Amino acid sequence: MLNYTFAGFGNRLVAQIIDTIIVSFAVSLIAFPIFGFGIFTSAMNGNESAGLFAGLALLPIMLFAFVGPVVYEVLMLSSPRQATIGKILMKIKVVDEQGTRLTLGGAIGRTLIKYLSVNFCFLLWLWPLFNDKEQALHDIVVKDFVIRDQVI
Amino acid sequence: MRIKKTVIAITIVAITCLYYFFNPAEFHFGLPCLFKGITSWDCWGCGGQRAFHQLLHGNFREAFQLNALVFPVTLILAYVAVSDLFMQELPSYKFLKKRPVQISTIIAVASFTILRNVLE
Repeated sequence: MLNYTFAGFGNRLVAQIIDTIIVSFAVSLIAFPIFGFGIFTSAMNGNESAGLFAGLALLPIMLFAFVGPVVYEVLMLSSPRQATIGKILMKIKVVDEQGTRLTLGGAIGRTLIKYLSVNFCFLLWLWPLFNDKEQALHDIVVKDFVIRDQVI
Repeated sequence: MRIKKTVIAITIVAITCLYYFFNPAEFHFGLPCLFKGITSWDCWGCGGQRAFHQLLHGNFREAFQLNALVFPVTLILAYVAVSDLFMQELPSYKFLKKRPVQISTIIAVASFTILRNVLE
């Protein structure tokens, strides 16, 4: 499989930043109208039930804020492009040990481990800098590689 | 790769401004540490954001006390930023991938994590 050029830490980092911006924007599109409605009803009624509604509105937002990025990444990585939008822009993609597309299970595992590991410590994302095959913790567990999108 | 360099440059400026003007000790941003939440021990990264804020203000002693790893991590990130911005198209960071460097890093991070919790 390893006739490919690895993606490079900088490209992976930039892809992650672009994806974070995209997902944050999408979450905001949903969050702002709900927040706005909550604030509007609070101002109009000024009672506790309006406040409770505004508080309850936070639950789906928080759920969406966690599930949204995971679903986005899983669907994109297991798609024929094998990459998120950030990775497509950086011309990199994720492949398994055989150099083929990740299975849906592989993509789910990779994404969950990735977001779980950053919750343990974001320094774990520096792992690819020290790894011969530029694998992060989630790449090592799922046995995948992030490579340039063209054979050199 | 103009996109890459632009995103890296904007990110560096944004993060530096964020951590310079906002003290994470007062403004809680970022994710809570699961390691600390589960074990109640400080992980190798705990205090890193507050330490970076102090580092940007030239308070090296405070930065060291909050998280001593802020110095090597900042150096590594600066090295990555300079390499990706100004040097090669695809830096390989071969120096960091050498076996002695890998082993030293693991020993340093593990020792720091144990010591900061034992000596606390």
